[in-house]
Amino acid sequence: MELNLALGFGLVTASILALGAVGFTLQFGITNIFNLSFGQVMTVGMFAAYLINVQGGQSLWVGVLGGALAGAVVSGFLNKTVFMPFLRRGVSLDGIIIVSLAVGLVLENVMLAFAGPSFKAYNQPRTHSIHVLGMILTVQQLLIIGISVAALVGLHLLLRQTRLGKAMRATAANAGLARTSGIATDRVTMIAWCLSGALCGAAGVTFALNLATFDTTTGSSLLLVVIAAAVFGGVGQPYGAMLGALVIGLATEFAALVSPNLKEVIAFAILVVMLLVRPDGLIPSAATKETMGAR
Amino acid sequence: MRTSPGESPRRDGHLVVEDLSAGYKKTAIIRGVDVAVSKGEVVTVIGPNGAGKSTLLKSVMGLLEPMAGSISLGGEPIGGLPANKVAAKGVGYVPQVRDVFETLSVKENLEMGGYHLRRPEVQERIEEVLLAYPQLKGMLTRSAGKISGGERKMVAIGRVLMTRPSLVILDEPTAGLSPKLAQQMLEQYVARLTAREVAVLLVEQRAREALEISQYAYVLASGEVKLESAAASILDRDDLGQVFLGRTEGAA
Repeated sequence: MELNLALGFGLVTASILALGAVGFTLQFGITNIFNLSFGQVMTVGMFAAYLINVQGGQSLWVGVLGGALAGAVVSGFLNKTVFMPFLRRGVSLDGIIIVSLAVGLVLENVMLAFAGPSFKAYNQPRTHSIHVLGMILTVQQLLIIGISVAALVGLHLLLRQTRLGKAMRATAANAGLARTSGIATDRVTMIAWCLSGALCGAAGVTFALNLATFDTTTGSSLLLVVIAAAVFGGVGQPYGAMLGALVIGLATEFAALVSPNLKEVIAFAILVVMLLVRPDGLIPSAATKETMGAR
Repeated sequence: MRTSPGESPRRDGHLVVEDLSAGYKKTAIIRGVDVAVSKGEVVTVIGPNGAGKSTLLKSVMGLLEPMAGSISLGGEPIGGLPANKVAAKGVGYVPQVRDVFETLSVKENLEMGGYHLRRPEVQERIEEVLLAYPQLKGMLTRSAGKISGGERKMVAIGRVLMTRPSLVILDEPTAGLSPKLAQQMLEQYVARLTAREVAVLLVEQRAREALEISQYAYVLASGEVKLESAAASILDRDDLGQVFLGRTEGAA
């Protein structure tokens, strides 16, 4: 019985992690930027949903949409005003990691200044629990799984079936060759930033929703587990990230059966073992280190 | 003396590069280079390693911004345009390495070659490419990173043919191929591009084989054109080995 419960929670956690990890990895795959401000962008999503849901009195699901939109806007804005200019100036990818750390701190403190240090909670309608295959889940949790599956199936179709999605994969595989094929890689990259920001915003809101309360630091603590899932799958690989999210999501909830404190321990233990066995993650990336700033 | 006796440097063509200097950061790798290629001919650039051959090709393609000089295609200036704009003007570029999208299927590689075409056109052009490279038919769904070197180069060339380019730039298309396959690549695929009224600008290490399928050639050494001439007259020279290295003083 307890195992079934953990399985249910694991699937919910995996769904949330998958949104974040796929978002993180999508952007990394195209830009090679290990973006540490991603955590705070998730927090931006949480607060955007809070404004819509609590201050605006709208449904929580409008809030999720709003959080995704806010994530997309902030992520695109950061690409245009911070990351692109730094890359153009020839800052190394290692240097950009520090820049992203700084950007994250700025974002977090701006939010702290406006929202204060108190914990926030969404207005959630009281709902009953639903029993599925021995798992007990709330309606919200089922919807979280639904949102995640829908978003990831949508992304899969985008990447495999559409011209834009193929151009994204082409840019991730070989940006120089993409440019000589007539692909406006700057535009494709911008869209990838926004898309990854949207996934990231959605991950933030669903995480906060599942957690019940959040504050300005919630996103950055979630980021560590998101990165673990992304790196587990082979960073830059959307399908690997989905798998990584599933493995780490389930493992953390099963570990919580023993003690909730073990959640992050197990996440990183899995990651360390994975990196020892397969340093490039489950699905190694074919892309090489090539900065997007170069023509 | 840049030309063989009795010849004068050419200044006309579909692609005309004049007095071009280009390089990385502030260092010019090529200086004052003039190159012209007409439609329906193969023009080869040969020369020792580090002569600036790839730099020349990259500048024409818009992957490097020229420091000085001009580049025009069909009379229209293209120097300084970014690579995706140059591609849209009808220039196809096959780099020496990393010449396909390895994580994409063969078919998707071709689709990306026709990125700015309308959807029905893309399908039509894929059929057209498959007519020229029937070997690719059986491997359309395979990952382009997992096919042989020769097949891979066909995908790379097929990809640039999707737009029916007026100029195709090939950077050492036979690198890494066996001598037999290299010969085949040059004679059957590169030479035949000219039948499409395409202008072909070729850089090759296999100088003799390349010259045999070329109408005109440039010898580039230390970033400068040391010699330009009809390909046949370079092939006829006794001091061919020296010429490849850009040492033409004694003969000219």
